[in-house]
Amino acid sequence: MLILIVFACATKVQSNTTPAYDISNPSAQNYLQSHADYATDLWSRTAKAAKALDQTIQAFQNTPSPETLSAAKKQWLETRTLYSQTESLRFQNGPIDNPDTGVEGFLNAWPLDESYVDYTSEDPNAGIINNVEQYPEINRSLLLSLNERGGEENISTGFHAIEFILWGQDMSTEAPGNRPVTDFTEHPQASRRLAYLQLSSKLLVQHLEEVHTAWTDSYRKTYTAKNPQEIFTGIWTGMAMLTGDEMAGERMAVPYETKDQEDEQSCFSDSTLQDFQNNLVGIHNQYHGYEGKVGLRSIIQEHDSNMDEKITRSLQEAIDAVNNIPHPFDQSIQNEEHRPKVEIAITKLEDLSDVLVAGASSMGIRVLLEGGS
Amino acid sequence: MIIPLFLFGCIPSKTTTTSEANEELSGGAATVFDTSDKAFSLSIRGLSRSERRAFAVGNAFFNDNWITAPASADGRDGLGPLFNAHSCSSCHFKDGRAQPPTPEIPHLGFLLRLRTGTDGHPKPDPNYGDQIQDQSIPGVESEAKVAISYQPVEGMFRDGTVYSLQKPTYSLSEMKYGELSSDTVLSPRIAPGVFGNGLLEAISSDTIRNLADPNDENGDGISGKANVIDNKIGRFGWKADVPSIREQTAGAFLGDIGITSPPNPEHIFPSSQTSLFDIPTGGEPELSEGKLQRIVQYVQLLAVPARRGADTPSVKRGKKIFRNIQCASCHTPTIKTGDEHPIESLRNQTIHPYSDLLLHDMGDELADGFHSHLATGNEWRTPPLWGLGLQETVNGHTRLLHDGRARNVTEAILWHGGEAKASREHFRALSHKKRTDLLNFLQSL
Repeated sequence: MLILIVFACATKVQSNTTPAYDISNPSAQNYLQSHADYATDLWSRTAKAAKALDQTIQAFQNTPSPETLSAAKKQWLETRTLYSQTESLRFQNGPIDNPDTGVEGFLNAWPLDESYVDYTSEDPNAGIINNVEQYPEINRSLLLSLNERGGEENISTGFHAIEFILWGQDMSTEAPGNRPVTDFTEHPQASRRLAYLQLSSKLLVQHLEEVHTAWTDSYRKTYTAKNPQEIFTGIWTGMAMLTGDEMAGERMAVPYETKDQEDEQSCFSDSTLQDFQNNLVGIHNQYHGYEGKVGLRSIIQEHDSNMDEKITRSLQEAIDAVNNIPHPFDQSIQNEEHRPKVEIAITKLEDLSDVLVAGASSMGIRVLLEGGS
Repeated sequence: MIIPLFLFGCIPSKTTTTSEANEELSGGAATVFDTSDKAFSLSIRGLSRSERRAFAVGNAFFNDNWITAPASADGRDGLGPLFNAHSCSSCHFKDGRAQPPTPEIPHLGFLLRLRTGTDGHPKPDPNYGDQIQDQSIPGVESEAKVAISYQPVEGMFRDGTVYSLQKPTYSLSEMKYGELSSDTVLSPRIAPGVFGNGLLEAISSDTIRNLADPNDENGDGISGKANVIDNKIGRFGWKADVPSIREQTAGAFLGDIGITSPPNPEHIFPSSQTSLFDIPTGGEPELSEGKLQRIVQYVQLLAVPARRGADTPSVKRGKKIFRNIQCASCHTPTIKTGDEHPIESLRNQTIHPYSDLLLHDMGDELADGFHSHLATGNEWRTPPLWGLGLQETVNGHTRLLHDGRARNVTEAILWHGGEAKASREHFRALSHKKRTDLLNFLQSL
């Protein structure tokens, strides 16, 4: 509490005595254009990966076999890798999660209640796929209409619905879920399951392409017209929210506390750690620059080199701490030997989030996290 | 953009000179500056690391959907068998206020409470218990379907402007567990916002008792009365019949989601529903002590959004009118929290809830005939008004009052009767300009 007061009042002093960061200077302008290029390129690569996923799913549908299923899973993981890198572009009214037109809820809503989608070990008749009476035809508009209906965990579309259909429930301590191919060939609802899978992968492509198109066209115009202050606020907020409220909070502290596999993000494919790692890859690329695009660091180094050192160090410590958690995450939250490593990662992510809020503040920008400082 | 931060960061300083300074800080130091749809969902600032985690974890539990037992998700099975909602957040959406169902919007955050025998010893209905649960797990019949119809109630302001209110009537169909007792009373209830409840909990019982004037000894026509439950002052619920967030939370889990917890370890089924005892449970109890504590901490740590535009001339005029026509007699503008709450940031805060947490006779038009502890069928707790102007942004509607019948603030005021009748009549007599000022003031809360 005391620290906060000192900090907040210190900001006031600073802004009275040192000139505020001049967001109209050429390097800021240059950075903001570069950031838009970075975002556009990342969404383009993500949408392309999703298209490739859709093709592997098509191939699986044409010839269901362990090989084609495995190819589809592999491409899901590839797509997920890139998607996780996009997540620092959230929380700033961008095309992904703009309150009016955002598609994030269709793409990435979780936790997913398995029994809302398909059978579970407890209930062989559960889910939209097996409920022929209520949902005689599985089609695109049905899946869209059922997403997040009547509860935040009633998820019918997106990465985790596809993940559940591809992998099935994770009943193993070492390996991910292992849905048999016969679910798609011999099971009474095999064809409905295949239809569900295909439709949800097409929706995934569609939603990701919508985001990419927005960045190349309509949103790019909005972005260019925006007050730079607002864009900077969004960029800092995205990174601070992702590391603080999301990663340290909901995605790590919750499973750490409950020790419940159901609370990890990609629980069917056991790829939760990959999600965390790539969330941080996204932040790293956004801060340090990526493939010729200038990173936020270029601004901070110039404006406040101490702050840049703090951010760079804190980011690296968070990356190291996450990399230090043994795979799979659902075991590390239960294993007494590994739990301290999860705890350290949570702390490092909270630190990083705080440092990012302070980084924003050094530019005269205020970032408000849901829970925190 | 930066100014609010200064205000917040430096509130503890004592540089203020007038009593009205900092009045935009509705929750004292537990105030946040946000006007987005997250305005009710933000924590108090400056949390310790452990509080911050409790908040994040509690938030997740608050959103968790409970599912039918048995399930692989061990920690969150045991839904129902009869229930109104799958999660806390389905009724308290974005920690804000629910609205009554319409043909397009399902029954989320609305329910009918039941009581029979109004002779001072009210009891649950023998067949349906404490409330109508309109949902059920597979293989179990839900209790009934609730339908609402509205009749127009016409009226006129003193300046000749006409208005039309709507009065609800409730009907039950598809009743699967027999008849309601002939003297059972139905009381419709809307899920209120949960933000700021930590501060209300931190008000000392003595402070609430001191606000009370049950025999109207000051002769202002207003006789606030504290509800008392097992020697504890009631603060929460439309009838102020729940003393603490913990009891409120555990009560809602049992009644609304069908989840047992340490304070309520057993399901209570009326005799018409004894077969439900054979349904598998999600553990004994279903909600662990640890999870309950996290959810309670989450609610306690939710901040209150700051006022917007408190200094504009119209809002300032509206505030004067609010006092002049006695709204402030029950909607108490300023209260200081006590120094005993377990969460330090909630202690000793000067807050502006615009509530006295007391029961008031609101007249026959709003009465539900439902007694609860010291609350009579005509009495309701003064609901806090903080955050009122952000309700539409957060929850997408402007419905108000215990049953959500009022479609906006004006209608809510016009429904005030009983002790508040004089204030309502003053409101009806105001000019259009003065009514606008008053509404602008209320929107600034």
